[in-house]
Order: sequence, then C-alpha cells, then structure tokens
Amino acid sequence: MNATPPPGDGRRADFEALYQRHSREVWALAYARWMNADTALDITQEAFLRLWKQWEANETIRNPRAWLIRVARNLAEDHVKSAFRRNGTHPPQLMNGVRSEAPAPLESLEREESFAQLHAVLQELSESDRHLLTLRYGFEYDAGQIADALGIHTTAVHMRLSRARQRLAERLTARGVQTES
Amino acid sequence: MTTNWLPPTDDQMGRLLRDYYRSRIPVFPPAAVVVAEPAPTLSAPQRSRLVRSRWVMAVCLALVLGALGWLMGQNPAYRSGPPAGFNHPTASPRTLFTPATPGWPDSQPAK
Repeated sequence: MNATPPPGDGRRADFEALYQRHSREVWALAYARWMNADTALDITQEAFLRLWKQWEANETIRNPRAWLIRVARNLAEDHVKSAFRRNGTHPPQLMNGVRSEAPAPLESLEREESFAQLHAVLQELSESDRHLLTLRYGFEYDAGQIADALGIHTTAVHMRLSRARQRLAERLTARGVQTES
Repeated sequence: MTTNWLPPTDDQMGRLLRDYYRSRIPVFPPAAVVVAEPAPTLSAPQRSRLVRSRWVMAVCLALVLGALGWLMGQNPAYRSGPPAGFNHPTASPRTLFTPATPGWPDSQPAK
C-alpha cells in the first residue's frame, strides 16, 4: 500500500482494498473495547471515513493500518467520554428487559441465555483477551494473521490464546455454564 | 517450529464462542457507502430560491422596524430627554445645588 494516496479512481480502489483487509480487524478492536456491535461498527466506519478524508486532502499516511488502529482506539475512548456526558456513571439501559410479545422457541431462548452469560463473562476478561478471542472465533484468523494484527510473535499468540480460553472456561464453569475444552 | 495452525474450534466452548460472534458481527457496508457524502435535501435551484427569499424577508423586516421606530419617535412620550422649553430645577441633578440663575426659581438643595 502506497503511503501517498493515488489520484482519482486508483485512490478509491486502494481504499476499498484497505477496507476489505482491515475493517474486521478494526471492528474487533472496537468490539473488544465496548462489547457493543453497533458502537464498534460506528467506530469502524468513522475511522475509515477519516482515512478517506485524509487521502482526499492529499495527506501522506505512512502506515494506514497502524493509523486506523490508533484512530479507532481514540474514537473508542472518545465514545466513553461522550457516553459519560450523556448518561452519567450509568450506561444506557434503555432497551434492557424489553421483550417481544411474540413467544420465542425454547431453543432460541436457551441460545440467547447462553449468549447473555457468555457476554457477561467476556466483559470480565481483559480487553486484550477479548480482542484475541474476537479475531480467532469471530473472524477465524489463524495464528499468523493474529500475530500480524496484534504485532506479536506467533508463539505468543498460541500462549495468549490458551490462557484466554482457560480464563474463560474457569469463569463459565463458575457461573454454571458447562463447557468441554 | 511455530506454525499458523491452531487447535480446531469444534469443542463446545469453541462452538459457543463461534455462534456468539456470528450473532454479533454485523454486515459491513461497502466502502463506497462509508465515504459517500450525504445527499442534499434541497436541489440547487431550491436552495437559491430559499436564500433569495431569506434576503427579501430580512430587508422587509428592517423596513418594518425602521418605520415602527420612526412612528414611535413622533410621539413626544417616547423621545429621550425633556421636551423643548422644559425647565425644572430638579430635571437635572446638576441643577440641584447651583445658585439660582436669572429667570429660574430659587433652587433648593435636595432634602
């Protein structure tokens, strides 16, 4: 990827390629921070929009991927501050407990219950564990891809993933959610 | 030797995690949608007519306010300062302690 944005159609094609390559990664970072899919998608789109505006202004970005990650992290932190301004110390819970009037199948209910428990346990893990698990199980990255995304060695990926799974299994077991590792 | 191979995720926790993330990962919009400028709500001719009409409204408002001010100015009650020929020793604080001048009644200090 060129550091200087190409003119015209080349710029758009390069941007699309960059988007295809890194949008999931940026989303995983934002989701690990906020554990909210819509917020993560907003942050992802905003980061890429800012990159596009930089290119339109003919600004040179030496490492677009690192730039996107940094911008996404800053946007995630700004989101924290704006949420505090809007809601005080309590997160927005507008739709908590709202249920559809239509009866859901039992299997669907059990599935949602499992996801809710898993979501709560994931929030107890560290952000780096969540990031790792999102890349591995959400986007099925292999060790090399995860190492490249996190800027670590593949050996460290294996070790960290193993520890993250162990911590997750311990917490799930403590909550009574049976899993077999 | 370190490889890219990772243990398969078909174990129960792996399945749970995979299903969980599948339910959370959104549909990513195309790149073109991310950078698209929002469509204007008004066309260019509509915008120019709106701007022109705003200028007309501003001029009319200025004329109305100017006429209202002129009408109010015709009424002596709205004029600032005493009317012509009005001479009262207490009309101006500066006259309260000055000695009486010819044609004026004796001024008395304010009690």
